[in-house]
Amino acid sequence: MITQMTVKRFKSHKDVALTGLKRINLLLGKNNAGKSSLLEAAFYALTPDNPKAGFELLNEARGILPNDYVWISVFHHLAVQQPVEISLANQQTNTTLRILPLLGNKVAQDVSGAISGGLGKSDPDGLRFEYASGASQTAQNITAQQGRGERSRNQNYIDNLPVIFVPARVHFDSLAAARRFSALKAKQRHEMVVEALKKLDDRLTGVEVLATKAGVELFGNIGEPQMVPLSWMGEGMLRILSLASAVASVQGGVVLVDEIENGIHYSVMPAVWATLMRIAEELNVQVFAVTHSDEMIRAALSASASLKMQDNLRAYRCDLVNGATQITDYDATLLLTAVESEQEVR
Amino acid sequence: MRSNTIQKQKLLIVEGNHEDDFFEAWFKQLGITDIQCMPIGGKTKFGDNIQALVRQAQFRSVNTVVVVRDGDDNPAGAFQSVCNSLQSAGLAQPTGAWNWCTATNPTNTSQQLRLCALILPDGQSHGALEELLMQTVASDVMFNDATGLVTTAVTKLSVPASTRKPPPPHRHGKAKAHAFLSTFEEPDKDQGKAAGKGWWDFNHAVLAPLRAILQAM
Repeated sequence: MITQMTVKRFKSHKDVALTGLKRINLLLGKNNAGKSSLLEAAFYALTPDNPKAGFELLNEARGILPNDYVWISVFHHLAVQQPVEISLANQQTNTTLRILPLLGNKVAQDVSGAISGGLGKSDPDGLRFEYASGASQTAQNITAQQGRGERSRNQNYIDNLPVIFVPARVHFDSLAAARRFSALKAKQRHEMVVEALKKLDDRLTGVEVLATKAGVELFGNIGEPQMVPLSWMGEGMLRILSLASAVASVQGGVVLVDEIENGIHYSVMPAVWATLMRIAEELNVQVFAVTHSDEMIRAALSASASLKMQDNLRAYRCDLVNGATQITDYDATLLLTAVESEQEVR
Repeated sequence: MRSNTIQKQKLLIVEGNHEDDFFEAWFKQLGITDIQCMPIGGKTKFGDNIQALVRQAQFRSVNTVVVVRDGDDNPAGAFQSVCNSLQSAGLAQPTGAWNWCTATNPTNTSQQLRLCALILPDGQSHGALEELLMQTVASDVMFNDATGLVTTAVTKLSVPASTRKPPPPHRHGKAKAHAFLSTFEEPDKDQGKAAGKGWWDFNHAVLAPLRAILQAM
């Protein structure tokens, strides 16, 4: 489990450290405070085997177009001369990722003077991802040609990533959902997901992957004469399907969720949290969830208390103060105190 | 419960909603609009609450914090307890009750922060805010009857044969205030709501030291 993350010169973050990370980590703060950027930073640092696929996947999930400016967007103040540095530490190892700009497939230092510090003719046309973990070091270049146009993603690689990013907007890919559910069924973990879905609709008695003319799709049994596609059952259902499937799929890995409250009614939030926390604990999954929702924070507290998992919950608020990110952290006790006394934590 | 999101630079930390109502009514009478009353100062969770307060993003703009606490039967202990809580939240501690101290706001080094701990009624005597409030109505026609009721209760209930106990000495002020307020046309008001009704005399001399602190915030 990651215990500490430091992020330097990445997007809006000049130098930020999240310490004392737990199994469930809430990221709070106003819009544009850099919460989602921290998820991105963690994602890149966790995809050393194929940063190119990770880069594409994440930009697509976040709706970032693969235009000419995508390369400089990762640098703090667009200052490409200063490499990004992201470090993740756990009890055993420390993994560091450096992201450097490329111009004509050469790193910035090799083309000194040619790289511009902003939007201009000499902008970088690629990125170099350098990973170091203990004695092991790897590096990969992502160039304009690879980053756009041709798709470098390998589905097997994506299915086996140690990290899953669940974007804020429901972007439902029924084939991918069916594939993930099938994989869970093969490992006999699918009931974890069904249990989560039942929190939203107690008529649901089972979920199956069925082949249709259009391909394969997830169907639910809700007591109707025939099973119905889950995609008919509303965004909340798909959201919970995405969340529960993600957590159940990455045993020993990490799930990054942007705006976790989206699509979920406040009344089921505690039950959804309880299910996610139970799966995360059972499968040793670490969750980082951005939220703007007071109800979601209260639900996380309530669920962690009911599961006696308060020691596994921590919250971090990002504030942009004079252009620099300031992190304020809360353990579960302090978070509960603040919420109970109606003090703002978001 | 009321929202305790920081909205002003000057904060008056009180124990609960009754005190919140009381001071809000007084601020209105004094024409004070730049102080925010925050009912988060309950004894049992004050330490955690003040830590949560300092963690609010808006705390960095706060320049004045006054904590109001009843001295009850141990005013020195109440002051020490407030100081311990301030310290655990990274805030400076005044040298004595009703004294001001100034230090840097721990969340914003460019912001000075003044602090004061008001242990009621006067920093040294046992009791609470109500000891002062009852003095403001000493000339009221029902004052003697209300205080007399408490005196009688203490006498009658202090005998060994009594099946229940009278209010302890440090709570006599609260008991008298309840008895006094029960004599109004709306007999169910607490001291905070009574302040809103104008039943306490805010201009009374006994409230002058407290008024001076509020006006100096």
